[in-house]
Amino acid sequence: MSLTDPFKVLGLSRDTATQSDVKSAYARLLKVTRPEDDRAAFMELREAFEQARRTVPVQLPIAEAPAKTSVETETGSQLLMPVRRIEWHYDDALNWNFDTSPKGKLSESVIRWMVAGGPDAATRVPAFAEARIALDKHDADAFLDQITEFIFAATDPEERRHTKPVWEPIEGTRPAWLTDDLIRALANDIGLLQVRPMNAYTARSFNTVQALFASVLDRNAAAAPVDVLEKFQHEQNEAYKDDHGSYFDRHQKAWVDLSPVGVAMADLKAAFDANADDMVETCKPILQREDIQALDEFQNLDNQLRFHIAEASGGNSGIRWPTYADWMTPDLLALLDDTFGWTRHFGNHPWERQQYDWLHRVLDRHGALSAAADRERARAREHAQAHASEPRRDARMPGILELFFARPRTLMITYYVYRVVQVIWRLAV
Amino acid sequence: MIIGIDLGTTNSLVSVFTEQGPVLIPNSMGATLTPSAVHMDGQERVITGASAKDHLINSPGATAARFKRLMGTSKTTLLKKKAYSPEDLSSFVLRALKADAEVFLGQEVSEAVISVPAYFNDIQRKATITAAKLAGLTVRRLINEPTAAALAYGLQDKEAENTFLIVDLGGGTFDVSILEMFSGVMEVRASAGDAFLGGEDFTDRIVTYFAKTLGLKLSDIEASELSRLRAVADHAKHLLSDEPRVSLSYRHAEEERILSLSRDTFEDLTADLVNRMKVPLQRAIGDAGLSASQIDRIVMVGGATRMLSVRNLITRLFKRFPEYALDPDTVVALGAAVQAGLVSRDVALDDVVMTDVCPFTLGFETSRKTGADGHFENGLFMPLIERNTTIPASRNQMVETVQLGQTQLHLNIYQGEAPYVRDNIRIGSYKITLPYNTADYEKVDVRFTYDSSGVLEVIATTLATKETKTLIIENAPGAMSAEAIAKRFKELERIKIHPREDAVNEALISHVTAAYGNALGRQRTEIGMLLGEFEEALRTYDKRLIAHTRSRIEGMLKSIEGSSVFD
Repeated sequence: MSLTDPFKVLGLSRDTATQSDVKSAYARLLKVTRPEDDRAAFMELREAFEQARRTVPVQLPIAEAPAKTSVETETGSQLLMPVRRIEWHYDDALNWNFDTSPKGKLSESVIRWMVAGGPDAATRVPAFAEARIALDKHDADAFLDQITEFIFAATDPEERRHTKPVWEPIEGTRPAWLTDDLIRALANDIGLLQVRPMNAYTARSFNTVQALFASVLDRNAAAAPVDVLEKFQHEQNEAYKDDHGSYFDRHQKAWVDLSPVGVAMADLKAAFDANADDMVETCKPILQREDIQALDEFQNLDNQLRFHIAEASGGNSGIRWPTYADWMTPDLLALLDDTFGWTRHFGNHPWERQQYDWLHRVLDRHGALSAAADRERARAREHAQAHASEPRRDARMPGILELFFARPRTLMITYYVYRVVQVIWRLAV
Repeated sequence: MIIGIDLGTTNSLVSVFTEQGPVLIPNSMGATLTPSAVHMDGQERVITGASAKDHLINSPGATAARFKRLMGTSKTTLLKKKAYSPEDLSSFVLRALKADAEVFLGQEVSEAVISVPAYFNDIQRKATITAAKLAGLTVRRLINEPTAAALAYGLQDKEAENTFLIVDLGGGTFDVSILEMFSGVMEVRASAGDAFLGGEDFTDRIVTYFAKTLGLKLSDIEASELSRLRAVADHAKHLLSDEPRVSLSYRHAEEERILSLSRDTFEDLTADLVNRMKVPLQRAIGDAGLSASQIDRIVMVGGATRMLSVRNLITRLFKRFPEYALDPDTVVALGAAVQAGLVSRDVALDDVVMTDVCPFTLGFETSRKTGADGHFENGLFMPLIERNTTIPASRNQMVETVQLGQTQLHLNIYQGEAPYVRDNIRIGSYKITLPYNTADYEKVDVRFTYDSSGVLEVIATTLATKETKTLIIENAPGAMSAEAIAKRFKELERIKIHPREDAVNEALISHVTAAYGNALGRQRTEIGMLLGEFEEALRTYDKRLIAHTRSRIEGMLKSIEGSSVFD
C-alpha cells in the first residue's frame, strides 16, 4: 500500500540483502516500533517486511558457497560479494535465449555464424575451437550441448519435442543453412558430438543431430545412439528416490511409487476403475490405513486425490460443467468429503481456489454438498441435545397468548369457549 | 499493576508479572486453579470456585458452570429464579479473581490482560470485554490462548530460532497456532481451531455411556443426579489418562452401582471427536505454508491434552512426541502475565515483541451484476482482511451503489471463509445515508481496522460529503451499550460476594454435603455425623477450634472416600 521502498524502510540495500538480513532488520526495528504504541508505523514496517521478504531471492547453496570462503577475515554478512548476475536476452528471429556468461557469448557467436551459413570458415573455426578450449571442462561441455540443442530445435520446426515424451526419438529435417561443409567443420574442428550428452533431454537432441550428421560423416555412422530411456530412468531414480524403494519402470515407462501414499493412491485408483458394488467398503479401509495418517502423508494423498477427481471430471479441460465417470457415486464422494473435508475448504492460492471451486461443483451435483450440510446439522442437533440434557434452568412459563392461541388444539378450544359464551350471552339478553 | 487472567471453561487462573517472571496467584483456598462455577446461596450471596462446583450437586438450581460456552449468545441462566447472562456469570468469577489478586498484591487492581480462545469470534471477544467491565476491570488487551502459551514457552529461550506448533485443547475450545521465533520476535504465522470442541465434550460422551449402562434416558435424569453422574464421568476421564481401566461407585436409586469404563471403550466413544481435531491442524499448517516436518517444537496446552488419545493423535500426525515442559493447566495464565508485563513495559521484557494474526477472514456483503437486464446476485462475500494477516492491520475498499439515485446503503459485516455470506457469521451491520444523486453512482470508502486485541472497527466514508461513520453493532446478540453496561454494573454491585475468609469453611461444608449425596449406608451416616460436628464447631465462632475440626474432618473424609469420586 505504501509507495516507499521497503528496503529503505528496513535500512538495507536492495542488491546485497539476504533473507536473514531482512529478518534481523525487522526484528531490530520492531523493538522500537511496537504495534501497541504506534499502529500506523507498525503497519508500514510490516508492509515493508512482507514486501522485502517476497523480493529477496532465496539464496541457493551454490551461489553462497564461494562467497563464504572469500570473506573469512572480515566480519558479518554485509561484506559478502554480491553474486555476479548473468543477464538473458531473447532473440525473436532465432527464437532462442542468449546469455552474457563467457560460455553464452561464445555460443551466441557460433550460432549467429552457423545461421549465416558459415562464412570465413578458415579463420573463424580455429578461433571458436580455441575459445572452447579456454573454457573450463564443465562450461565447454555445456557449450557443445547448447549448440546441439540449437541445431535440434532448428530441425524440429513443428516443436514435437515439447509434446513427445523424452524417450521417443524425433527425426529431424535438415534446415537450409546446415550445409555439408558446416557439418564437417562443427564435427571435426569444433568437436560437436564428441562428448557424450549429460542428461536425457540433451541425449535425445544428441541422437537426432547424430543421425542427421551421419549421412555426411562416415565416421559417425557407426556410433550407436545414446540410450535415452536408461539415462532418464537413472535421473528419475536419483531425483525422486525415497526410503520406500520407489523407482522408474523402464518397460512401463512410469514411476512406481512404493511410498505408503503412492500405494494407497494406486489401490484407490484400482478400486475406482473396478467400480464394484462394494467400492465404498473397499475404499474406507484404504483411507484409514495407519501409515498414511501422519499429516504430511495425509496432505499428499489429499492433493493427489483432488487432482485425480478434478482431472477425471474434466476440471482441467476448460469445460463449464463436470462430466461424471461411472465410479463417482454419491456414496463415494460423500466418503471422500467426510475424510478430507473438501466442502469446508476454499483454498489459499488462486489455483487452489479454482480447484476447490470445481470440486464443490462436482460434489454438489450429486447432492453431496447438501449431504455434508445435513451431517453438520445432525452434529449441531446432537450438540444441542447433549446440552439440553443438562438441567433446564432457562425453562419459562408459557405466556398467556401462547397458552390460548399458539397451538391448533388450544386455539380450537378457545374458539368453542368463545362461541358458547356468545350463545349464552345472546340467550340471556 | 496489570494482572493476567485465564478465564477458562472449567477452571480460571490469575497471575502477575514480577521481577522473577510470571507468578500464579493463589485463591482463598490456597489453590491456583479456581473452578469457573457460580453459586447463589440462601442469602443471595455469590459463591465462586471449588465450593460452587460442589454446589452443582447439592443445589443445581442455584449454580451455574461452563458458561464460557454461552459467551456471545443471548442465552441466560436462572439462579434462584433470576436471569443472568453469561457475561454476568463470568463477571462474578472475574470479581473473585480480582479480589484474590488484590489480597496477594496488597493494592487495588483495575486493569487486566484476559486470554480468550484464538477461535473466539468478534462477538465473543466483545462479550468477554463486557464481562470484565462488569467486574470493574479494564481490559488492556485480549490475548489468544495459544499465543499466551507460546509466550510462556518462548520466554525460556529468547534468542533461539524456532517454529512452534501450539495445540490447545481446553475445557470447551480447541485452538491450534503456529509461531515463528527469531531474535526476540514472536510472530504468529497461523491460527485455526474449533470453538465447540473441548474436554467437556469428552465428558459428555462418558455421561451418555454411563446413563446407558444404568439403563436410564438422559432426558429423564434429575438435575442433581445428572451433576453427580457428570462428576463421576469427569473423574473417570481423569483416571483413564493413567490407568487402562477404571471402576467407580455411584449411588443410584438407593443402591450402590459400579460403573466401569476401559480405555478402549472410551477411545471408541470419542473417536469422532479426536478426528475433528485433525482439520484445524491441517489448516494451520497449510496456511503457514509449512509441512509437518518443518515444525521444530510441538507444545501441548490445556488440561484436556492429558488424555492419551489426544497425545496419540499428535504423535501419529507428526511422527514425534509433543512437549510438556510446563504444566498445561497453568501455562496460559503464565503467558497472560507475560503479556501484562509487555503491556506495562516491564524492563525484563524489553527485547521481546509479539505479533499476532486474525484467525478469520473479515469482509462485507456485496452484489454482482448477473446480466445486462439489471439483475443482481446478492449475498456475495467480499473479503477485506484475509485470515492469518498480522494484526494490527487496516485495509480499505471502495464500493459503489448498485442503482442511480440510491440514498441508502446497508453495510453487513461478516466473518468466515465461504464465498457466500449465508455460510458466514454476521458480526454487525449498519446503514449509511447517501446524498440523492441521479447522475453518478455514489462511492463509499470502507475501511476495516483490526487491532491487537482482535476487535474490529469499521469506518465508512462517503466520498461526496466526506461524512464518516464508525460501526456500532446493533443486532449482535449479547452486545451491550455503554449505558447498559453501567446500569448492569450497578445492579451486580448490589449482589454481595460471600466473605472471603469464610470461603474455606463454606467449601468444606459444600464438599461434605456433596460427599453425603453420593454415599450410602454406614458411610453416609458417618459423613452426616462429620457435617453435624463441623456445623457445631462453626457455631462457637472459635477460630482455633474451627481450624482444628476442619483439618480433622478433611483427614477423615479422605479415608472414608478412599478412591471415590471426590478427591
